[in-house]
Amino acid sequence: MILRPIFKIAGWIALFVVNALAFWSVTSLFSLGFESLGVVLILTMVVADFIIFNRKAYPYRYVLPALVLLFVLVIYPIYFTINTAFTNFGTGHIFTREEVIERLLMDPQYTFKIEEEPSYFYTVFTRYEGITPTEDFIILFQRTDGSLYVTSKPRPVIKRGNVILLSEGELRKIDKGEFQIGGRRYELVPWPANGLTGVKLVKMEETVYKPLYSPDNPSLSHNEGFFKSCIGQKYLANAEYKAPDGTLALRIASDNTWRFFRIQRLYSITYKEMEKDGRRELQSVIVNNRTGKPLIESDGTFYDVNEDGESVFVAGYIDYVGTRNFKRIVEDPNVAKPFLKIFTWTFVWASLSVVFTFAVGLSFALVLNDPTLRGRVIYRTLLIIPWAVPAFISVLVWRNGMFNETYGIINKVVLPLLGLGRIKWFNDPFWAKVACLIVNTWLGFPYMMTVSLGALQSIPNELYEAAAIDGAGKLHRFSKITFPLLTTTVAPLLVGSFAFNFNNFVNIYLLTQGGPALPNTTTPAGATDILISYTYKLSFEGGRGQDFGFASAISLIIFAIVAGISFVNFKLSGAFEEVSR
Amino acid sequence: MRRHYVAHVFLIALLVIILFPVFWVASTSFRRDQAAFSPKIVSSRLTFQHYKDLIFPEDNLPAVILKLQNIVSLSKPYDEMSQEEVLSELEEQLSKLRRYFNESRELFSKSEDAYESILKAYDEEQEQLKSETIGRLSEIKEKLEEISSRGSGDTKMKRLALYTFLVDERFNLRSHSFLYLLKLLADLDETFKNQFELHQKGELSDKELRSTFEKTLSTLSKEYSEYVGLSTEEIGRLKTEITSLESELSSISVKKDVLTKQMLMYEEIANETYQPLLKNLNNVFDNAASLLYRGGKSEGIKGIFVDDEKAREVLKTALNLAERAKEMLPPVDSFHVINASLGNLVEKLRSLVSRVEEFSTYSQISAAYVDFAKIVENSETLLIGTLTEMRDFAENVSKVVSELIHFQEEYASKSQRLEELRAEYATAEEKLKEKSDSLLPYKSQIAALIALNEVEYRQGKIRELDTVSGRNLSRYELYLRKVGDALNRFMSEFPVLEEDKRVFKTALNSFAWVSSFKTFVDKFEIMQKRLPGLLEESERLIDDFETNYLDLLNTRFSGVFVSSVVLDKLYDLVKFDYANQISGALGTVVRYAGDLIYDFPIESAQHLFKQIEGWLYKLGEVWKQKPKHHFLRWVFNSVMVAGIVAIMTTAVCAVAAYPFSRMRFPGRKYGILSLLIIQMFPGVMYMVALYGLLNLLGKFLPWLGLDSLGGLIFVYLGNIAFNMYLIKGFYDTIPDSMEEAAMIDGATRFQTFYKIVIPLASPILAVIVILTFMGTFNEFVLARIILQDTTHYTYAVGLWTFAVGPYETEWGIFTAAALVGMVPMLVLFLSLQRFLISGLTRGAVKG
Repeated sequence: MILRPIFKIAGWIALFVVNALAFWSVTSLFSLGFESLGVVLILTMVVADFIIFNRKAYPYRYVLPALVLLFVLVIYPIYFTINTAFTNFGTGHIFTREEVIERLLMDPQYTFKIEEEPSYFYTVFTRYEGITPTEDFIILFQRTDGSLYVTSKPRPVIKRGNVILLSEGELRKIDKGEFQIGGRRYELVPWPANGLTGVKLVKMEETVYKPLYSPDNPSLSHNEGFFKSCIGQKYLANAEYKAPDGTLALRIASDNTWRFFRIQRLYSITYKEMEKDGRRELQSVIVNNRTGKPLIESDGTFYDVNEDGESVFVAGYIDYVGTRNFKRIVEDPNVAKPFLKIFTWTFVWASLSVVFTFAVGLSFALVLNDPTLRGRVIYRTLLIIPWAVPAFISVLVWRNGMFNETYGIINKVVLPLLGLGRIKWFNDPFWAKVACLIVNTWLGFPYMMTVSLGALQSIPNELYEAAAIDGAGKLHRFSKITFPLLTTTVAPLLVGSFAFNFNNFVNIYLLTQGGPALPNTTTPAGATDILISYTYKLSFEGGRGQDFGFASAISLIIFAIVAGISFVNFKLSGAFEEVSR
Repeated sequence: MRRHYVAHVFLIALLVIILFPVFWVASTSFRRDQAAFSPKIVSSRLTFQHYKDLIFPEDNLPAVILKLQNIVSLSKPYDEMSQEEVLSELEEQLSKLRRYFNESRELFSKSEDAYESILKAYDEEQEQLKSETIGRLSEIKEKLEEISSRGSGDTKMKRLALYTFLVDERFNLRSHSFLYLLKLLADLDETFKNQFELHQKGELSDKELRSTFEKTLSTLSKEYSEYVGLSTEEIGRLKTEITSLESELSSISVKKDVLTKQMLMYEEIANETYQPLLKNLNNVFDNAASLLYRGGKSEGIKGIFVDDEKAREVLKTALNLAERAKEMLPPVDSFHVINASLGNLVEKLRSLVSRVEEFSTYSQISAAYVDFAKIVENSETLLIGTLTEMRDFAENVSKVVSELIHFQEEYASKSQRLEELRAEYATAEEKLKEKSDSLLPYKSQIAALIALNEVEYRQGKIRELDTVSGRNLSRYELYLRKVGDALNRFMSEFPVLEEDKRVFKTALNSFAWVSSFKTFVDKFEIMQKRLPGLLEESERLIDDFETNYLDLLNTRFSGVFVSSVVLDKLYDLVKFDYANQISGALGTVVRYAGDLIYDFPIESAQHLFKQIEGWLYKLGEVWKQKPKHHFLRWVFNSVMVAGIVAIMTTAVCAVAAYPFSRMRFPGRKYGILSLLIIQMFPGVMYMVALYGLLNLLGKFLPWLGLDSLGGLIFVYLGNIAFNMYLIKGFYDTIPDSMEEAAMIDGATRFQTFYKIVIPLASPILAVIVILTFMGTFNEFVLARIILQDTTHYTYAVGLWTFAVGPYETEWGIFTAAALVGMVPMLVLFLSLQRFLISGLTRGAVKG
C-alpha cells in the first residue's frame, strides 16, 4: 500500500517520457517526409493522453494497448492505402518531390566529368593491424603540376536513416613535410619526397599509415579488392572532395581503373517567379548545367531536353493524380478488359467455391447425420483432415505433387489410367480455373460439413415425425424441412465464406500465381487472378513495374465490396444484437 | 443394414480419394527413389534419408571438400579462430573425407561382389530361362495363329487388305518382314505366285521379281479404287484443289482489305477536304448568281464594254468538269453528301451557263453582269483547279469501287465453289472410311499373320543363340524388344479382344525383366569402368593435400592469401567428373536394381539386387551435391514468432475485451463491429504500408526493421478485432455476481478483472493462444515479403522454397518438410476441434 504513490509517480514519469519521445518522433517523422505516419502517431498520442487523464474515460484504458496496435497496424495502413489510391506511387515514382530534387542535386549519379584524363593522381594510405589493412585511411594527391595534397575520411553531409547520400572532404596543400588535420600532426616520410610515389609512410604520432592502393603503382595492385570493397564503395562512392580547381570524385576511368576526376553537378536549382492563379509565386526550377535548359516537369516527372529537342525521362516523384487510377479501370482498354475479366472471375470463383464446398459438405453431413451409422466419429475426424492441414502446405502439395503438368500424379498416373490425355493444368486458362476450384473445394468442404452437421442436429426431430405421419417421403422431407431450416442457420456462414474466398489470396497465389497470363494487357493480369492477387502482383511483382497507386485503388474497391457483404452478414446473423447484450 | 453397407462403401471410397494428397505426402517422404520421375505412386523401398537431410543435415563429400577449402583460405568463420583450433578442425574434416572415400570404396566393392554373384546365378539358370522364354513365345504364336484363322476367307477382300499393307512398304528383299508380305501375296495371287516360286528357286532375278511385284501392285491398286468407289487420286485432287482455292481466297481477301482501306481513306478525303471546298464554291456562285439575276438599275447603260469570252469559257469548262466528276462519283452511301453538293454546283453552273449564253445575245449589258464576269474570271484558278482535282478524285474512286466490286464477286463465287468442294471431300472421305472399315477384319487377320511371322523369326533367332548371357544379353534383349514392339503395334492399331490382349500382356510382362536387367548390366559396367579410377585419382589428390596442408595453413597464417589447388581439383572431380560420368549411371543402376528386386526370375538372386540398391543409394547420397537449407532454423523461427505473437495478442485482447463485456461507454455497441469491418480491409494492401513502416523503423531500430523477426512479430500483432470478439463472447457468459461481491469487499475494478475474470476465462484464452499460434505459424504472404535472408525465413516461406525452383522435383525433401509441419498442426487441430469448431462457426451451431 505504501508503494502505491511511488507507482503512481513512476507512472507519471513514464507517461511524460513516452509523450516526449512521441513528440520527438513526430517532429522527426515530419522532417523525413512521413507526414501521414506522423499524423497517425500524434493522433494516437492525443487519444491516449485523453484516455489516461480523463476519469470518465476509464473503460478506454483497457482498450488502449489494443487501440495503439490497431492505429499503427490497421488504421495507418488503411489511411496510407486511401491516400495512395490518389497518387502515382509506383515504379519510377517512389520518392517525394523534395527527395527527388535532393537526389538530383546531390546524388553522384547526376554528375559529369569535366575532364577526360585525370589531373590528380592519388595513393591511399591506411593503418595496418598486423598484416591486415583497416578502414582508417588518408589519401595523398599529386596534381599534374607536381604539387601534393592530402585529405582524410570524408564527413557525411546528408544522411537518410543510416544510409549516407553524400559526404564531403577537402584537399589541403602540403608545402612542408608535416601538416595538421583535425588538430593532429601528420608527418610524411621521407621528406622531401620525390613526388607521390616517393612517400613511403605517413606518421601520425604513434600510428603509421602505409600505402594501400594506387592505380599507378603496380606493386600495390594486390590490395585492389580491399580498396574497392572496403574503402571505395563504402566511403568514396558518395564522396566529393573540394580541390583548388574544382570538385573531385571517384569515377571509373577509360582504362577501367578507379580514379579521381574533376566533376560538376549535372543539375542545379534556381527559383523562378511564376504566375499561378493570378498570384505571383516563387517556384523551384531544376536546370541542366550542361545545356543550360530547365527541366520540364509534368505528371509528377522531371524530363530533360536533349540536343534533338526530345524529352528524356530523368526522375519521377509521388504526386497526386486525382481519380486517374479509378478512371483507368474504366477508360484504358488495356486495363479495363483484364480488370473486367478478373472482376467477373473473382465473383465466379467465390460463388462457385461456396456452392461446391457447401454441396459436398452438406452431402457428407447428411450421410453422417444418421445416428445408426457406425464409426461416424472416425469418418468425421478423417474428413476434417483437409481443413486441419495448414492451407499453404496443402496448396503446395496439390501444385507440386498433383497438378504439375509433367510430374504430377494426375497427369502422370490418374489420367492415363482413365485413358485420357494430359491436361495443361497451369497453361490452359479453363483448366487452371478448374484446378483452383478443385483445390478450394477440397480445402473448404470439411468446414461446411461441420457447420451443416451442427445445424442438422439442431433441427428438432418432432418435425420429421410429424411429416412422416403426414406421409411425406424422404425427398419431400429434405426439401421442405431440412433444407429450408438449414439454410436459415447456415446463410450467414455462407456469406462469410463468400467474403473469405473473395480474398482467398494464398490459394490462388500459391497454386497458379494467377497464371496463365492474359494477353494484351499493360498490367500483370492472369486468367486465374482474383482481385486480391492482382493487387498483390501490381504491388510486389516487379516484372512490369510496380504500381502501388493503382493497386490501392483496387483494394479500396475490394474493401467496399467485402465490407458491404460483411455488414449484411452481421445484420443477418444478429451479431449487432449479440454485442449489445 | 443394407443401406449402411452402401454408405460405408461410399464413404470409404471417397475418403481414399480425399485423403490421397495427405497419404501421398506421407508415402513420398519416405521414398528412396526419385518420386517425381517414377511412374509409380508408391514405392516399397523406404528411407529416412530425407528426414535426416532436413533435421540433421550432415556435410557430405562435396560439402566437406568446400569446408576444407574454406579452412585453408581462412574465410569465415575460420578467420577468427586460433591456429590450433583451425588445425584440429581441418584434421577432423580431413578424416571425415577419408572416411567418405573408404565408405565409397567399401560400398562399391560390396556391390561389385553382389553383381558378380548375380551374373553367376544368371549364367547357371540361363538355359532354363531361355527355354521358358521360348515357350512363352510359342504361346503368343498360338494365340496369333488363332486370331488370324478367325473370320471368313474371302480372297478378294484379303487381297485388298494386303494391298493396304503393301502400299507403304519399300521393295527390300533383305527384310524378312517384306519377304513374308510377298509370301502372303503369293498365296493370294496366282500369277505372282508362279514368279515368286521361280525366284525362290533362283530362276528369276530380283529385278524381274520387282517388276512383277509392281505390276501386281498396280492391279491391286485398281481393284482397291474400284472397291472404294473412288480413287485415292481423286481425293488427293480434291484436297489440292481445296488448298489452292483457300490460298486464292486469302490473297483476294487481302487485296479486298487493301481496297476497303483505300475507300475509307477516300471517304475521309471527300468529307474532310472536298466537301468544304465545294461548299465554298457553292457560296461563291450563289453570290455570283444573285449578282447576275438581280440585274440592277444600271441596266442598259451604254458604253460598258464587256469581254465575257473568258468567263463563258471558264463556266463551260467548269460545268464539263463538274458533270464529269458527278458522273464518275459512284452512288455509294458514304459519298452521299459530297454527291449532293456536287449536284448542286452542277445545277448552278448549268443555269449560269445558259443565263450567260442568254446575256451574250443582249446588246445592252448591265454593270452587274460585268462584275459577274470579273468574279468568274478571278475565280478561274479556284474553280477549275478544284473541279479538276475533283474529277481526278472521282475517277480514282470509281476505279477502286469497280475493282472492289469485282473482287467481291470473285470472292463470293470462289467461296461458294470451296464450300461445294469441301462437301464433296467430306462425303468422299466418309465413303472411304466406311469401305476401309469393312476391310478391317481382313486387315487385322493379315496384321496378326505379320506379327506371327515376326515372333517366329525372333524366336528362331533366340533359339540360335547358344547363350543369352554376357555379350549375347543385349542381342537377346533386342529380339524380345522387337517382339514386344510388334505385339504392341498390333494391339494398338487393330481391334483385339480383351482376353487375347491379356494373354499377350502377361507373356510380355513375363520377360519384361530382361530389358531392365540388360540396362542394369550395361550401366553397372560403365560404373565399374569409371568409378575406381575416379576414386583412385581422388585419393591421390587427398594424399597430396595431406602432405602439404600444414605448409598452406602456415602460409595463410603469415598473411598471404592461399587456396589449395589440390582441393579445387578434387572438387572439380566430384562436381563435374562424377556428375557427368557416373551419377547418371548410378541413378539408373539403383532404379533398375529396385525394379529387379521383384521382377528378376531367379529368386535366390533377388536379395542381391536389394543389397546393391541399398549400397549404391548410400554411395550416391555421399557424393551428391545437396543444396543448403536451414530447416531447423526455420521451424525454430516460426515457433518463436508464432509463440510470441500468440501470447502478446491474447494478452492485449483479453484486457481490451473486458470493458466491452462489463462497462457501459460510448462506442461500445459498434466498437467491436466496426473494428471487425475495418479488419476486412484487404490485407494484401496493408503490406505496402507495413513494408514502408518497417523500412523506416529499421533505419532507427534494426531489430524491428525489414528482414528481421522482430519486425515480423510486430506486424503480426495487428490481428486483434476477431479475437476480442471471441473473448468478449466468453466474458459475457461469466456471471457478474462474483465481481460485485469482490468489489463490495474493496477490490478495484482491475483487481476483479485479473483475479476473477481471467482465471475463469482461461479456457478461451488458451484456445485463443493456440488459434493465434496456428494462424501465425501458417501465415505466408507477409513473411515472404518481409523476410529476405534465408536464415530468417519462417517455416512457411522455407517450405515454399522447397516447392519451387531447383527443388521442384526434389519431392522427397519437400514432402518430408511438409509432413514435419503438417503433423503437429494436424494434431493440435484435431485435439482442439471442439473449441475451434464452436468458435469458428458461432452463430450457426448455437441453434
